[in-house]
Amino acid sequence: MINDPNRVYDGFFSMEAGVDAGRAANVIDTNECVSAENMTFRGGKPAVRPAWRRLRIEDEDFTNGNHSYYEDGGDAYNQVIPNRSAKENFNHGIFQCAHAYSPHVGPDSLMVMIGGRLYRVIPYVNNAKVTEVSIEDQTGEKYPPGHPNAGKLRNKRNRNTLAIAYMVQADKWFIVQDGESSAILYDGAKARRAITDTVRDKTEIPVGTMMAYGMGRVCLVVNERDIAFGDLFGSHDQPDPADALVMFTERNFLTEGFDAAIPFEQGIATGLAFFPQLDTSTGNGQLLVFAQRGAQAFFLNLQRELWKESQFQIAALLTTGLRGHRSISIANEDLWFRSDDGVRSFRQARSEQYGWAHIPHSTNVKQFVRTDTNRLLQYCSSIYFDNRVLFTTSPYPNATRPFHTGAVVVDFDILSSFGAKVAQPCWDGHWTMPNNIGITQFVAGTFNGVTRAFAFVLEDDLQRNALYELTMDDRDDVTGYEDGPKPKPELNESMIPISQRVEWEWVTRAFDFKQESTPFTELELYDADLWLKDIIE
Amino acid sequence: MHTLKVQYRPDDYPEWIDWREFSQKFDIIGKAGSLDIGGVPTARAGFAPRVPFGKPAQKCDPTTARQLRRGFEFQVKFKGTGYCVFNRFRIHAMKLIEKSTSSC
Repeated sequence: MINDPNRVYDGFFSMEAGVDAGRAANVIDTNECVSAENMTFRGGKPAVRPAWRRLRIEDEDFTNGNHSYYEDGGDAYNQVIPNRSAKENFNHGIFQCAHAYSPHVGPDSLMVMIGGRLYRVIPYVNNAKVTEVSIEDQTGEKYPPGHPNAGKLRNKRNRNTLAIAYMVQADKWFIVQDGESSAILYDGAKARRAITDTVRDKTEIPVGTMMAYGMGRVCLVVNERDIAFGDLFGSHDQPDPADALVMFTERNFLTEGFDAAIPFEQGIATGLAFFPQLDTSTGNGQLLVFAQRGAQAFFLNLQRELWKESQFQIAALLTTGLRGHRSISIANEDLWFRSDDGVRSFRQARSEQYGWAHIPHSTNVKQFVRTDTNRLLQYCSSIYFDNRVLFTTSPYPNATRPFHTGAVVVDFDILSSFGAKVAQPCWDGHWTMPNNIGITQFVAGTFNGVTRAFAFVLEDDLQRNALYELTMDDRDDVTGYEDGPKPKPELNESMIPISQRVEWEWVTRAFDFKQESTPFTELELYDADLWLKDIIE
Repeated sequence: MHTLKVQYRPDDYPEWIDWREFSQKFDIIGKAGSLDIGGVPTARAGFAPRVPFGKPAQKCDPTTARQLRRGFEFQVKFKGTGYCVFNRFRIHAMKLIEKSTSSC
C-alpha cells in the first residue's frame, strides 16, 4: 500500500451475507451489498450464478406429436390436424401447470398441462422426450353416427384458455384439476376422468382446485373456500390400497357434517400444504390451508370419527396470507411461501406474534418484489434446489399467458459451514433467464435418483413454450444446439451446445472509509484495485 | 474473454458515473479445448490479481456544481459478462481539508 497519511482504504474480502437492501447502503454490514443480478455469494466470494441449459424439444422428440383434438375439444383419434396437434399445442398452447411425477413403474417425469392437454416429459441431459397422455372419459358422450369417429368416446380435453391448473401426486396417482373439468387420474400407464355421478360409495375426487396429499388422504379445495377430505389409504376393499386415495365417499358421512371451511374473513383459499413435522412416522404435521389473510390448520392425525367432536381445525395464522399455491417450498423443516408483501415462512409468521415487527424475509431484496402486481401473484412458483429457494418475481399478465421476468433467490448453504457461527440465510438477489425470456413456472423433482430443477419459459417473443434446466455443470448458459458431426454413420448428428455468457451486475455498499477516517470526512476518490479468480469460459 | 464495466457514484448521486471498462480482457489460462496426451484438458481457470482502475476522470455535476470525485461515501457498480469470482476489492481515497465551498 502507498505510504501516504492522507490516503485511506476501504473494500471487501468476503460478501457472505449477500444482498441487503432493507437498510441504507451506508449502514449495512461490510459483508453485504445493496443489489445483485445473476450473482451468488455462496462461500463468501461474489460469483456468477449457475447456468441455465435449454433442453431441446423438437419434432423428433415427441412420441405422438401428431395426436390431435377437434376445435370443440374432442379427441380426433387417428385424424391429424396440424394446427391442433400435440407438438403444436405443446409449443404454442397456454401453459397451465407442471409438476414432477415418480410413478410406481416407469421413468420419473415432468407432467405438464398445456392448452388443456396433459403431457409427460422425460428430461435427459440435452433434450427431453414428450408424450401426450390421452385421457379416457368412460362417462362422457360418444361421437354420433356419421362422424369419422362414430361410436368412439369424445374424451374431451380440458379448456385450453385457462391460465392455471392444479396437480398433485398421491402415491401412484397423479391428479390434475382445473376447477371446471372432472379430475384427471393418471397412474403412470393410463389416464381417465374421475367418476363423480354414480352411487355414493363409488364416487371419486370431485371437481376442485388446489390439492395436497398427506396422512394417507388427498385434500382438495372446492368452491374456493371449502376443504374436502378424501378416503384413507387402504380403506376400501380393492386390489391396490392406493386405489382408495381417489375415493371421496366420506363427504356426507352420517353425523360428520360436510366439507371443512375457512373463515369468511380470511378470504378464499390460496394454498395447501402439510407442514413438515419431525419425529413423526410420515413426516407430515397438520394440513395448512392458507388463505388471502391467514391460515387454518387441520389435524388429520385424529381419527375420522373424532373430527366433528375434537379441535380438528384451528386458526394457525390470522394476518399473514399466502399468494400462489405453487410458491410453497419446504426448506429447513419450514414452509417458505409468497405473501402479499414478499417472501415469508410459516415459522417466522408464527413467531411474529411475540413482537411488533411484521416484515417478510425478502426485505433484503425488496427492490425486486415490491412492484409485483397482487392479482398476478397466484402464478408465483418456487423451488428448493441445491440448498437454495428460488421464487419467481415480476409477473406480467401477457393476455392469459402470464410470465415472470426473474426470480429472487435465498441461499441456505451459509448455514451449513460446519463448526462456524450460525449465520442468517443469504439473499443472492435477482436471477434472470438468458435473453430475459419469461418464466412461466419453476418445478423440481428427483429423476433417476438425481434432484433436478427446471423452468418452463416463454421464448420467441413470448409465444413458444420451452424447457430449461438449472445446472451445476455449466458456467455459461446454453440457449440452443447445432448439429455436429455424426459419431457413427448409423447414428444421428451430435448436438453441440450454443453457449452464451451470463450477464451480471452488482452494487456494493457505500464505502465511507470509516476504519481509517470518519463518515464525516470529505474524500477524493483516487483509485481502486480488483482481484478476480476462477475466470472460466 | 470477459467484459467488465465499473461505475461509481458519490453520496447517493442519482446517476452512475463511468470509471473503467475492460473489454474482452480476462481469459482462461491456456487454450480452450486443448488436451494433453492423456486426453485431459490443459486449459485452467484464469485469474487477475490487483487490476487497477486508475483515477476516475474529472466530472462535474451540473445541478450542484460539485466535483463528482469528491464525496463522503462512494458506491461501486460492477457489470459484466462471463463467469468469474470476485476475490477482493480495494478502493482508495484521499482525505481532504473541507472547503467552505466545493464548486468546480
